[in-house]
Amino acid sequence: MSTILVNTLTGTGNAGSIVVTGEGNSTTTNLQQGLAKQWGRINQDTPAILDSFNSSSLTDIGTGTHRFVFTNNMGNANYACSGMAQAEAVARGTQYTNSSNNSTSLVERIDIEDGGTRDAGNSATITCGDLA
Amino acid sequence: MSVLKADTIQSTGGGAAALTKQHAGKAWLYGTTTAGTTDSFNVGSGTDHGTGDYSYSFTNAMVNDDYSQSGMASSTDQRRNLTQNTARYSASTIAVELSDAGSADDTSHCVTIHGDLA
Repeated sequence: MSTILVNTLTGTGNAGSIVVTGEGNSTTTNLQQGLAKQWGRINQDTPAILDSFNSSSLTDIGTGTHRFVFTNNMGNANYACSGMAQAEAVARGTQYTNSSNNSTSLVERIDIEDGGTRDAGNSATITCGDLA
Repeated sequence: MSVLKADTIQSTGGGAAALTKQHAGKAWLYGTTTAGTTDSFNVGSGTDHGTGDYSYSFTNAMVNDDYSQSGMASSTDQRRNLTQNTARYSASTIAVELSDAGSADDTSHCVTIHGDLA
């Protein structure tokens, strides 16, 4: 086994593009495209960021609705985000939806099965896409 | 600081190199209400099978269908939901279903895939 110790990886032809071989050894994938560009775990009751990456601030913009501001902006609003929030009660489903996203921030809202919104003590999000 | 410049990284045996404590996502997409994509990675074409019923092909397939799929519906009101369509997904196909208050609904959506490539 060989190990390279290095602090920064950069492509030679395109600085932001490095190809790595997939687990099955039959195909390749782009390293930068696969890396998550933001993640965060928050408490909406406080509200507060419990831990995060590439997230500079959290703004409470209504019940169950918050805005994550990116430290380093995305290239556009067409990124893919996903998330999960703690259930309020076993019998009530929880949906985590997004709206009003843009390249500088992400808006997410926690909805419950009866059609309302609520603040969740624990919720987490992850964002994949293109950095600016 | 040290900088390693390379276009391709492999293990010494020519396979996947281990990145300490890191696993890259293998696909992601921002899908429209007609199974189009406004942006994506490792996603080929989309198919609109009906209201809220969409599938997308991988450009490079996964090794099996045991990958992790997560996503989020885009919504300006409540009760929108995104789920995996278990009747349609496979190592070569991402399948999602969108609903609003329990009924199938055309909604833009985001999906991310983590797991092992073929």
